[in-house]
Amino acid sequence: MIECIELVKRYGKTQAVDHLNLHVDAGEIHGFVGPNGAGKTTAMRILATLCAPTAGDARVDGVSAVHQPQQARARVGYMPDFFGVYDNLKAWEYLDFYAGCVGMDAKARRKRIDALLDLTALSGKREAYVDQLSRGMKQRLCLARAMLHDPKLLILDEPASGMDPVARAQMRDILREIARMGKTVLISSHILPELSEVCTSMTVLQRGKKAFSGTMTELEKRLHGAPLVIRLTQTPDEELARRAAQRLSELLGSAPAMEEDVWRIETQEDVQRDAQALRMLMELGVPVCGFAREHATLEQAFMEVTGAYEAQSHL
Amino acid sequence: MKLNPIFESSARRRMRTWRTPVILTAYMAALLCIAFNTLFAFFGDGVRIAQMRLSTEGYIWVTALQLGLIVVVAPALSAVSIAGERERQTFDLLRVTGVGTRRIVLGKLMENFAFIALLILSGAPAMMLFHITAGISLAELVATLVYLMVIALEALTVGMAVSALCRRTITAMVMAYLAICLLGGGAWALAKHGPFAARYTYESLQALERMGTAQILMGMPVPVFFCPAVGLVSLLAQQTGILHRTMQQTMRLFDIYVAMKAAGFGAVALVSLAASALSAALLTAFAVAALRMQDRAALKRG
Repeated sequence: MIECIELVKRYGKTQAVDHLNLHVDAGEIHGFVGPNGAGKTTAMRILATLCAPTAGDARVDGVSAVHQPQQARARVGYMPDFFGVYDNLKAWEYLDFYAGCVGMDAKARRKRIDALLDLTALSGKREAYVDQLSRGMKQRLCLARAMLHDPKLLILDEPASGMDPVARAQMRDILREIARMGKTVLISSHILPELSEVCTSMTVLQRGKKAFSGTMTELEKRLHGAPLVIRLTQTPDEELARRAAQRLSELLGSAPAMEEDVWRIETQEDVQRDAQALRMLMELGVPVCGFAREHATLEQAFMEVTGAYEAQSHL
Repeated sequence: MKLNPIFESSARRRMRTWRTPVILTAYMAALLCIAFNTLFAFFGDGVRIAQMRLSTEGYIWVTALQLGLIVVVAPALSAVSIAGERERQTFDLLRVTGVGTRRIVLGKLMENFAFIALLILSGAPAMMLFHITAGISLAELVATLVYLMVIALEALTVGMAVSALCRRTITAMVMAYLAICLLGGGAWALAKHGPFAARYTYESLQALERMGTAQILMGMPVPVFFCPAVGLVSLLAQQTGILHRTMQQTMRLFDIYVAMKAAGFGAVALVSLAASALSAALLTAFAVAALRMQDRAALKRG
């Protein structure tokens, strides 16, 4: 659905996007992560036909956003990181205005607007003035605006910024619903847990370059494995602890770091071996009350990937 | 008929603000003050023939005030329209809808014109009073209202052209007023001091009157017809005749006035009306081209 080929954007001496190659399949919710100034918004604006790249091409559903902007616009719904709402306009009128701009006829408009207000949980605010809506509601209204012409791709730049937890949860549910509708979503956010909960794949940008791109599972694999954390009801006696540590070391290939009633083993994830380890601990009589892999948060993954990228680029 | 969504939405928003009724009321009040002042003087001391002239002067004042208000209000309205979209950061959202620059300019222009037309029409009752007292026919009143609307359209397109170029509303407003001053004042200055001015003196009036209307009109400097005041003076002189006498007495306000008189005020008013309409059309085309150019520049800028 999205294809960026050697995409470059320079602002004077600043390289905002640096030979970015990207591929996102249809139906994915793809996260765009990176520190401020990494080039996320620029890349998104190029895909939304609002910015011309210095070199390279960006394609949406096989259509070039650079060379065929009109055709590309029909396939893209764009929601910027600012509200962009008019005052003295009711919610339905706001949508009706943009529906008219995209060339929708009056009959189709009403049905579409009702459906989108319903999807974004704004049906109750149909007659409310846009400038009197809360931030979260405005964001959802902007999302509805971006979906008016039923685009295949939705580009959402920081859609949850400044929202309270309830509004963020609502936005998350809406995004999942949109994904169920078969749309592809490209979403950037600084609130990384938000992305980890909704995204199926992700690209990490650093200084305009791609530091990582792949599925969430691939991102986790990039890390040093998820450590196995064993929690005990009480600290076992020294002899039992020694024997357990030795058997775990033989089985998993790594010795546990023991801190009283919490043991941590840095090892690659393997369900079969993990099951064997648990069985062995039970047989030895170790008082286990917790046995799980501790997966890295997206923040950890992000720091890991960008950190590794920084180190690599300094070499 | 498919209504331009930009026109529809902007008109709806404008009519909802408190400013709109305030502007309309203030505008009507200003015109009615002058109209009633004239009427009180007219009826205050019994109706005499000499007071007919007083009433006609009232009509001239109301019309001139309409022109003045239009020239002040119109550029301010249109100058903020496109620049305002940029400042509000809603212009990008319009761009991604694929709505063309021509539709944006025409939508905004139509909406601004609808409001100005409403202002002008709201001044019509004040002007109608002179139909009773000054012998101004209804056809003449309609002609004056049409002329004012064309001038308003011209002033709006000046603001629109500037708005398409500017990124900030305040810059657009200042530029629009400068452009209006240049259009009106520049044409007047050219008429008074330009290379053609010396040709039109009262001494040359008789010689001019021997020439045909078309010949005189073709000899006049073209920018003169683009000056809104020239057209309005001609129209009022044609309708009332008073202006003609006042001009003869005070003289030299317009050296070109001699040529206007010789060519016939009606003809000058018509040419001036056509020039204003042409200028409005050209400025609209310029605004569309300027917006397209700015669009391309914005695309490169990102």
